[in-house]
Amino acid sequence: MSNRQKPPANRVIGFISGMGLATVLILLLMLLTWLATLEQVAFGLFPTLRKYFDFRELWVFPDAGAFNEEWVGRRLPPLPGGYWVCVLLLVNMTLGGLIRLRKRWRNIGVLLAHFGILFMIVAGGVAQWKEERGVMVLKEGETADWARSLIDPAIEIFEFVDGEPTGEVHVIRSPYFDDLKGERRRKVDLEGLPFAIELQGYQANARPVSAKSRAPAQGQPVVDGFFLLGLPSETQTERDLPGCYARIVADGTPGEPFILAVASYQPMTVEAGGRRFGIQMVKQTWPVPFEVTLESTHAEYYPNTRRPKSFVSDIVRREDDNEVEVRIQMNEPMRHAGMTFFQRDFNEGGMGTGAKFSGFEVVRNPSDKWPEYSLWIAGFGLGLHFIIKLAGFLGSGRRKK
Amino acid sequence: MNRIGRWILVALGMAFLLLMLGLTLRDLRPDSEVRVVEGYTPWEEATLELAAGVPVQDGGRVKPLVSFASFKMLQLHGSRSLKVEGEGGATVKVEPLAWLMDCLFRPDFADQMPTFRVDNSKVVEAVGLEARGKRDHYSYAELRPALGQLMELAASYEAMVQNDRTLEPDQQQALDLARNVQVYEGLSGYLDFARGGVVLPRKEGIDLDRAKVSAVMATAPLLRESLSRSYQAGETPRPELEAMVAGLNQAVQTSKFFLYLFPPADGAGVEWISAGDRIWNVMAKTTREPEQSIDDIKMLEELATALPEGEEAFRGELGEFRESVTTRAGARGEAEKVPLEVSYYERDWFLLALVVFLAAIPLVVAMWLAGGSRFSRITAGIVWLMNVAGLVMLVIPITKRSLIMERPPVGNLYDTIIFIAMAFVALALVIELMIRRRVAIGVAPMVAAFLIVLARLFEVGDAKDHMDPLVAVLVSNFWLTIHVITIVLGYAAGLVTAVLAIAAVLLRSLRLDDKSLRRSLLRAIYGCVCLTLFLSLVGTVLGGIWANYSWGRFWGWDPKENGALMIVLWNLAILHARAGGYIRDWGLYLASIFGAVVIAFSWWHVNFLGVGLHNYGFAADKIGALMAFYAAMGGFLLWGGVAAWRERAARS
Amino acid sequence: MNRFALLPCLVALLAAGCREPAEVSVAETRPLTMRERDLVAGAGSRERFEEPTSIVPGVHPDGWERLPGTQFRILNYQFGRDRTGEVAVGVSQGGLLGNVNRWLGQFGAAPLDAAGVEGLDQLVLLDAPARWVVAEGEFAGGMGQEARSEWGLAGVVSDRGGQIVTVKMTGPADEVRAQHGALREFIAGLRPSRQAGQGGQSGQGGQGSQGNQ
Repeated sequence: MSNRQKPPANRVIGFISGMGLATVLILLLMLLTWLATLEQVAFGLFPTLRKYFDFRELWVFPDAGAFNEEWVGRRLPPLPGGYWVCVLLLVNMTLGGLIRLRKRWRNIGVLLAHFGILFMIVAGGVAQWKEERGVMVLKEGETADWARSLIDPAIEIFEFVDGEPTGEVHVIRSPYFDDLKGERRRKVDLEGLPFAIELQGYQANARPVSAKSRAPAQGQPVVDGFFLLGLPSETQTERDLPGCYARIVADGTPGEPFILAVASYQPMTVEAGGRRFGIQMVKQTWPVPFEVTLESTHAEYYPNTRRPKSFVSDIVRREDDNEVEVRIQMNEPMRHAGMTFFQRDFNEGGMGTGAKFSGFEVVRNPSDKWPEYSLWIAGFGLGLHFIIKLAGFLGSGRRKK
Repeated sequence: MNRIGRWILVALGMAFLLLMLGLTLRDLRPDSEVRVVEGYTPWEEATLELAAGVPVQDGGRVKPLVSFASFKMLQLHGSRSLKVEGEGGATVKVEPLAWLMDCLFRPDFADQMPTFRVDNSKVVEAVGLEARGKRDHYSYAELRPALGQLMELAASYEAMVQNDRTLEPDQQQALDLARNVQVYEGLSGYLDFARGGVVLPRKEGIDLDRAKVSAVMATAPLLRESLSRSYQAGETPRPELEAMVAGLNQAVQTSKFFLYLFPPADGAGVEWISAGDRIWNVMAKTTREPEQSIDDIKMLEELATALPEGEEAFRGELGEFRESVTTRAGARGEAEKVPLEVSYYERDWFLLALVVFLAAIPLVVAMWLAGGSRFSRITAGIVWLMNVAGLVMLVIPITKRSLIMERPPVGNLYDTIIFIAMAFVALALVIELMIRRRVAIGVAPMVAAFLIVLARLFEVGDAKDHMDPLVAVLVSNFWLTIHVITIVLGYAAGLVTAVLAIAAVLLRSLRLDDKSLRRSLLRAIYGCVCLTLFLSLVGTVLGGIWANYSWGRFWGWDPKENGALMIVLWNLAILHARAGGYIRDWGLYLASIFGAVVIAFSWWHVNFLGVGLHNYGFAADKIGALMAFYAAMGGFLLWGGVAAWRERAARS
Repeated sequence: MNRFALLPCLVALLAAGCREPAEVSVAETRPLTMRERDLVAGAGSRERFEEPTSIVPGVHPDGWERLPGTQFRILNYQFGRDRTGEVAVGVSQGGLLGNVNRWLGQFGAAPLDAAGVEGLDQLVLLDAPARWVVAEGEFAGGMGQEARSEWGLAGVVSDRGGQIVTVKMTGPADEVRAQHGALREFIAGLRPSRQAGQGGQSGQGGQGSQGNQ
């Protein structure tokens, strides 16, 4: 135990794998969770998570608005970012809880529990990187073979041949451009295309507005009669419609700038190398390897109330001329081809239209079952440890008598 | 010191007992002053007994009339009884079923009862009435002159709500009052048609000026035919025909909502039918069973007009009505649980359990005071028995509820309170068996009494039938059941930990313990921390697995999920800090007491945040009670902190 | 195709630290889906950014800002000093006379009879005759609108064989008066869409007003 006599390297490892660090990290994680819980009321879930648990945030400044609406905007002393607390905890647990833990029978439960939790954190990490999640909203009678992200925008580029979209769609994901605020710009080379695209002036929520209808107040560039009007972010981030300015660079010559915005109905058409291309910003598309047709959808209510009992959708899944009828409802998702369709929401249309919509959450996650496995391991470990301790306790009590 | 310590403990115990007794009595006593209701006579017991089991459909399930009455009265009146001074100056306690029966069958009495609770006198003043106390009760008769203004006010507030504007508390209360008045009018006017019938224009040679609604319904085919003939010929229908149609429309309007009395015909869906819809469906030719419909309306007419002939006659009609509806509901497999539910409300097991636990508290104090004497052993035995008896009295109603609801015992916040009370006592008894220090059986009755009182107050404040079915996302399956029960058991274990820690702090700081007791308690607390961790961790992850299975996301950062995670993390921190030697005895006590704060945050506080899937929609004004709990725990933490500091100072 | 492809790039971005790279290369592709099926080449800004509606504007008066349509407003604009002026193109029910009198009623003006309506100015809206209605004064509000004083209304109601189409401008009286000319031009320029009735978003309904969401 006498740390002072040990060489410094050992002392460092001792610290990193130590109980003290573990305790502090766990407490930090708890504090962050607590603050994030309170802060999401005022700021919305997604921005709060982004602030507290994203890998890009080494530090977070909690907002006093978590405690009182009137204090919104006042920063509290900083805390380390949740992502990095988890990473440190992972290291600490691997070293201290697995490698350096004394391998005795009495400790087997603790060992298993640590392993289970470790596995769970890894599963969470894998899910964060590997998981694809989108929504598919269908009107009765409609068919789709794609879902879209709720939040992440993407820039998509495809070729027009004889006026028809053709070939493959090139995708530029949001991390490549969502940091380009203000004057910052970036050139994105696209493999296999005869041009590069230069992006600038990204706004997380924006609307293209005709310069005839309203003068750009902040000197926004006007291109082809329109400019990009920035709007405050919504509390529900999925309602934000991002946009940016762009121009193509072919043969080293930059072209005219244009606007890319999720709030648009048609792509920008550009010409390069004698070919025509469509460029658009959309909420990122997730192709689904089969077609889904919504045959009918309805909500079931408890009798004589408006309390929903279930939302039900009858769909037809079409794939290689093979048609299957499937019923998807709350708590009964459709799992197929590595994807899962969950009943997400239901909309009976507004007055007059009468159209019924059904929204599915579409998820592909290879580590889907890992948390479950990790639970069995950790739960079994903890249970075992508890029983060993209990047996020891009862045994000692008996001996004393 | 030792003696003073003992008396401090006694004082604390008795103060707690008095607080619980006070809350219980306030809950049981009628909330309003006695009002004079000219000529009021109480219903006969036999009549109420018969009425209790009439099945109705409400809140999405078939339940006995007594349940319906109970929650309607809570909603309007804010408590489960009121007192009136009736015939001969006798004071009568009117309970929910009697109140509902008065609304339905004796509306003239009901109009004078102080039915409506108004929490803020501003509401009454805003509609031009003279207010009494800040919080008071008003009768329908008192409100009547101001109803026009109240409804106008409510309409404007409703428009504000539709435009996504938030209402001020007194605006919300005015809106609630207006809605309650509508409910009351719906109930007190429900049988107007049965008492009054259809008014016909006077005609020479016919002295009949009223017709029964059922009689008019029986003429429906003829009525329809002659009406359409008149219209086709371009003539105005005869006045008596027009009067009939107008009368029926009136009947349909007043008896269309709030009470769904009749099971539908075979194959006609699952929605029970109100009297108004019965009438309408016959006239509009949209029922599969016109004869049955007419018979049903006739039964109601006979029932509504039987009262002047005495309650005996009334019971005859009521029995017939109940039999008829029960038979039909039974054929649909819908009324089976009704007798069980009637018995659930007849014998209030929770109240009995509360009485047992409260009675145990003085004995506990005596047991602790008596030390190791023979008297102490005897009282300990009695406390043991009372704990077991109380536990049984909690298990019985929880089981009954589960059977009635046909779902696992924990599905909403109310369920969690009573389930945790039960789990707490059970866990305390197990711990007592293991350490045998008379601490666990001592604290169990106190916490159980507190939780039962909390459940009762919550039920009154919420005024919802917590046995009604769950919303779609929570419809039960295996994993959800295990998840919820494990989490709730984790709460219970965490509370046991905290209470044992409080006991340990008090005993140690007042020098009432010895080394061996101290050691036993420490080990029990440590064990409970482990158990809390185990249950919370497994429960939380199971929740994730269920969410992943049902909604496709393992973790949604929902406040309730975060709360559960915080419990896991707190207990993990305790164990690691202790294993690393960073906290010792006092650290463990204080950390365990703080655990109760973490649990309270997860269990209650997140509901006030108003976001997330687990959000139950909570009135923000109740947060004061939670703050009081935090303050109490803060007090114990402070006490423990000071005691720890003094002990260390004394040692060095 | 998956996020792992992204990982190195992100790490590269991160490694670059605060001076984010000025140039990156991207190779990710995906197959075409039904989402691209109805996209057209050569769309101009107006076609790209303005909601495709069953009625399209031919003229864009200066100072009018187009807003997303709603269920009751096919075209939706705001204008004026405080942006309180509104122009809405909508489809309604209740007959020509009924709609004219509803408008007049909002300003407390006396209702017209059939002959009175005949006496109103006649314009052409979408190839059908339409009546020009003007009112000024106290605006009574209703349907969620606040009451206003010194308010003005100008617009047309047309009955196209039972289908009522309205163009209604409301706002401060002086501003509305100043816009009469622009409004008449705007009405004359309205034309039915080539692809009438088609929502904004190809492939998936329910998102029309939100563009490429």
